[in-house]
Amino acid sequence: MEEAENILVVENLKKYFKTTFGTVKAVDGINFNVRSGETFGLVGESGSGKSTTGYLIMGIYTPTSGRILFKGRDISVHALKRPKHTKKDMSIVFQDPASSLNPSKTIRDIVGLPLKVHGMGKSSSEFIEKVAELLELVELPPKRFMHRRPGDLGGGEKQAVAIARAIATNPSFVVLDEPTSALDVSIQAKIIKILMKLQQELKLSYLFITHDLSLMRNVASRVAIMYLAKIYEYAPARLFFHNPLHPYTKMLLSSVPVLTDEEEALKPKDVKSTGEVSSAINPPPGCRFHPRCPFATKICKAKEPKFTMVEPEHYVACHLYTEKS
Amino acid sequence: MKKIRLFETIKQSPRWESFRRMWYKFSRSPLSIAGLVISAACIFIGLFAPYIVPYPEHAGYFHNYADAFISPFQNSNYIFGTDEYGRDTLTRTMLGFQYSLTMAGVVLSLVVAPGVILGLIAGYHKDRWIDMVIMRICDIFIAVPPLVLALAICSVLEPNVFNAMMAVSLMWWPWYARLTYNVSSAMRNEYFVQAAEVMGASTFHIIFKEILPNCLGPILTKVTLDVGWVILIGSALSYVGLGAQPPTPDLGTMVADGGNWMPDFWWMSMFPALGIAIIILGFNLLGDGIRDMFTE
Amino acid sequence: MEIKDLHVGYRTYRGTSKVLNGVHLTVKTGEKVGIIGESGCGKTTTMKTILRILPTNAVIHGGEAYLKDKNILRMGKNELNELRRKHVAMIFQDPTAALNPVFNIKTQLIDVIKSSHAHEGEKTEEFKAKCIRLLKEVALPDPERVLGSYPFQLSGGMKQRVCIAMALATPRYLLIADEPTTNLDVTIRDQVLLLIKDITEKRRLSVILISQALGAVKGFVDKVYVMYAGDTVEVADTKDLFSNPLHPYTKGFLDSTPKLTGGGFSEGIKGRVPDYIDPPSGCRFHPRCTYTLSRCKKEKPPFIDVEGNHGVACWLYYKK
Repeated sequence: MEEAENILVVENLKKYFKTTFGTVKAVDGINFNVRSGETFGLVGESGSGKSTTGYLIMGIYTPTSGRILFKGRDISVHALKRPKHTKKDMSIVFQDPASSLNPSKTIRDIVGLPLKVHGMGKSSSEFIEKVAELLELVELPPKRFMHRRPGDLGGGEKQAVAIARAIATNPSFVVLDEPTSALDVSIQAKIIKILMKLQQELKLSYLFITHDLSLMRNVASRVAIMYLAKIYEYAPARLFFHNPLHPYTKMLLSSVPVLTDEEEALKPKDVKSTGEVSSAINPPPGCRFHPRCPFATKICKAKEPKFTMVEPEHYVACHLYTEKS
Repeated sequence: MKKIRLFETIKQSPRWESFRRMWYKFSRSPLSIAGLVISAACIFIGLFAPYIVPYPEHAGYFHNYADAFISPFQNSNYIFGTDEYGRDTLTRTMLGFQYSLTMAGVVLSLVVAPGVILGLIAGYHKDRWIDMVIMRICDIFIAVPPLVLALAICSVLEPNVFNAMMAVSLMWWPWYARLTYNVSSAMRNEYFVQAAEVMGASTFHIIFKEILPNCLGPILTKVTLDVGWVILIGSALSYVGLGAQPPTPDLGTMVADGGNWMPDFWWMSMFPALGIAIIILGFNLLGDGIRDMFTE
Repeated sequence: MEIKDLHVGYRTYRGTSKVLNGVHLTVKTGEKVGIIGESGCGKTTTMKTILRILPTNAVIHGGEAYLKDKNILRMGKNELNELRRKHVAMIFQDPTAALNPVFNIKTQLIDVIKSSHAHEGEKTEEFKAKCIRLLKEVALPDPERVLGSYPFQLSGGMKQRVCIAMALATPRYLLIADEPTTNLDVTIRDQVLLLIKDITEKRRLSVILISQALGAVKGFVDKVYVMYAGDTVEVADTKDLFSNPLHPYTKGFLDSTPKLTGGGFSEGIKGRVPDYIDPPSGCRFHPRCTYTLSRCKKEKPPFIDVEGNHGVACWLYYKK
C-alpha cells in the first residue's frame, strides 16, 4: 500500500436500522480509504448501502459500530456532535437537486448559509461578493441567479447551486451522492466538467457514489463495488473495468447499455443479469451474492469470503479467488 | 426613466414572480375571488362599523318604543327593521360584525404563534421525548369537546367577551400545533434540512428559517378557515349566554334574543344569523383560494 | 400510427406555452420506434396527446394524429374509450405511481381485463387463470403470491412487470413505453427491456420506446426519432443514427454520453432548454448550436431527406 496521505479511512463500518420488519443491515462491515486529492468511486445498486455509507461519513446517521477517521481524527458520531471545524471541512451534494434546495429561499441565501454558519463574510458586501464568486465557479452568472428561487431553475442549474453550496467553506472532502442521476445526459457532462475543474483548482477529494458505470469509468481513480451492505471488489479504475474479477462486477458491467462496438467488446460475456437483489433484513448466508451467482459452490453458501489481493491494488472478496492461494 | 427602471426591477425580483404565480393560481376560481371580495367587505365593515352605521347610538342601552318592531323593507329609515327596543337591526348587525371579527382576530393572534412554534419543535424532534410530551398535551386538549370546555370555563369565570375569547383560545391552539407538526415532521427528512444540519446550522435556524417558510401554506389556509369557525363557536357561546352579554351587539346574542320573538318578528334573528353566514362563507371561499395558491 | 405537424401548448400564469412545435411521427404495424430526447423536449406530451390524456390546461394548437386512419384528435368519448382500452397501451416511468396502492394486483389486473370488454361472459375462475398466464408471460416467479400482494410488497422490477402485464392484458395494436426502466436497478433494466422485446415480437405489436438510455434504445428499436424542444429534429434507422448522427443536437447528445472505455467527458451542449413561453425563433436549437447559419434564426428548417430513411430538420443539409 502506498504511503499517500489518506484523507478518509473507514474501518469495519456497520449501520443497522431497527424497523418493524426486522433489523435492516444497511452497511455491514466495510473498509476503504480515500486518498487526498483523488476521486474514490462507490458503485452499487439500490439496497447496496452506498448512499448510507455516504450519509454515515457525513454524520447524517450514527454508525452502529466501526470507525470513520477524517484526517486522522475519529469522527464516528452524528453530525450534531462533531466539532464545527470538521463540518466546515467536509460537505455533501445530494442526489435529488429539487429537494436539496429549500424552495422558499433565494439562491443567495442557500449558497450563503454555510458562510453565515461558519462566520465567513462578515459584512454584507463581503458576503455577496463571496456568493457571487462561488456562483461563478460553478458557471452560473451571479447577476442572473443570485436572486432567483430554486423553482425557477432547471435541474442542472439546481445541482450547480448545490455544488456551490458544498464548496462554500473551502472543504477538503466532498461526498457526491449520485450527483447527476436526476439530470439529462448533456447537462451531466457539464456538471461533471465543473466538478473536475473544481477538484483541480481547490484540491478536493471526492467520494463519488453512483450506479452508472459508464460515468464512473470517467471520473474515478479507484472504484469499490458494493452489494447488499458489503464491498466485494475494489481496484484502480482501469483494472476494475478492464479486468473485473467478482461475478457481480461482471454482471453489472454486462448490463450497461452502450453505444459503440468497442464498449460492447469490453463487457464481460460470461455473466448475464439474473434474479433480483435480496432483502437486506435477511441477507443470504455466506457470500451474499450466491443466489444470483453462476459460479456459486457449496463454500459460497456457507462462509463469507475474505479479501485477497489478486494483482497490485486489486482486491476481491470471492471464493473463486481465495481458493487459488 | 428611473421610475420605469424601478418597476422593471420589481418585476424581475423573485417576490414579484412568486406573487404573480400565486395570484394566477388563486384567480383561476371565481369563487375564490368572490371570497376575497366578501371577506374584504366584512373586514371593512368590522373596522369602520361605528363610523358608517346609520344609528351608532343603538349599540348599547337605548330605547325608542315608538319605532319598535318595524318590519324590514317597509321603512326607509330602518331597512332591516328594528327590535323590541326600537334599535335598528342593520346597525346592530354591522356592529356585530366588529365584535365577531375582533374575537376571531384576538383568538387567532393568541393561538397561532404558540401552536405553530410547539408544532415545529415537536416535528423537528420527531420520535424523541419532547415530541411525545408536546403532542400528548395537544391530545388532551383536543380530546375534550370544545364547546364543553368553553362552557366549563365560562361558567366558572364571569361570562363576558374576554373570557369567551380566552376559553376559545385555550381549546384552539392544539390544532395549529398538530397541523404544523404534520407538515414539519414530513419535511424534517428532506435533503435541504439534512444539508443545513450537516453544515452546522443551529437548530433555531433550521426550524425557523428552513422549515417554517415551507409550512406557511397550510397554516394560512387554516387561519382563514378558522375565522369562520371561531366566530361560529363564539356565537354559540353568546347564544347560550356565556359570551357577550346584552345589550352588546354580538351576532350570537342577537340571534338568541331574537329567538324569543320568532316567528312573528323573524328579522331580529334572521339578519344577525345571515351576517354570521356571510362572514363564514366569505372566509371559507377565501381559504379555498389560499389553499389553491400553495398547491402546485 | 401517424402524427403530422402537431402543435400543443399549456396555459400557465405567464401565458400559453408552445411546447410541441410541429412533431412528426410514423409507426408502421409491427414496427419498433424509439424516441430519444432530454427532459422537457415534449416526448411525454406527444405520448399523452396520442392517448388524449393531456392535463386540462393543455391546448392543441393544430396538427393531426391518426391511428389506423382514424383521427385521434377528433375522437368522441366512446371512440376514445376504445382507443385506450383496446388499441393503445402505455407503460409509465414510475411503476410505484402507476399502481393503486390500496388494491391488490389481482383486483387491478382483473379491472383492466374487464374494462376492455374483450372477455365479456367469462367467469371469475377464467379471469384468474388469465391473470396467472399473464404474470407467467412477464416472467414473474410465483404468480399466485404476486396476485395476492399489494404493490408495496413488490420490488420495482416486479411492479414494472405487473404494469407490462396490465398493458398487454388485452390485444393491442400499439404499446407506448415511456422510460420504462429509468427508475429500476441497473441489472433489472436489462431484464425488463428484454422482456418487452420478447413479448412485443411474439405478439407483433408496434412499440414506441422513449428513453434517455441510448444504449437501451439501440438494441431494441428499428427506427429512432430525436426530439429537441418540441421539434422532431432527426429520424433514421437505428444503426444509421448512432453511427452517423447528422443534426448538431444529436451529435452533441451522443457525444455527452460517457463511454465505458473511458476517454473523459465532452463539453456537453452549452445553454439551456428554451423557455416555451417565448421560444427561440426559427430553429429552436440555434442559440445552442455551434454551426448556426443566419437562416437558422429566421426560419424553422423543414424535414430534409438525406439518403434512405435518414431525415434531418437542419439548414446545414439543405440543398437547392
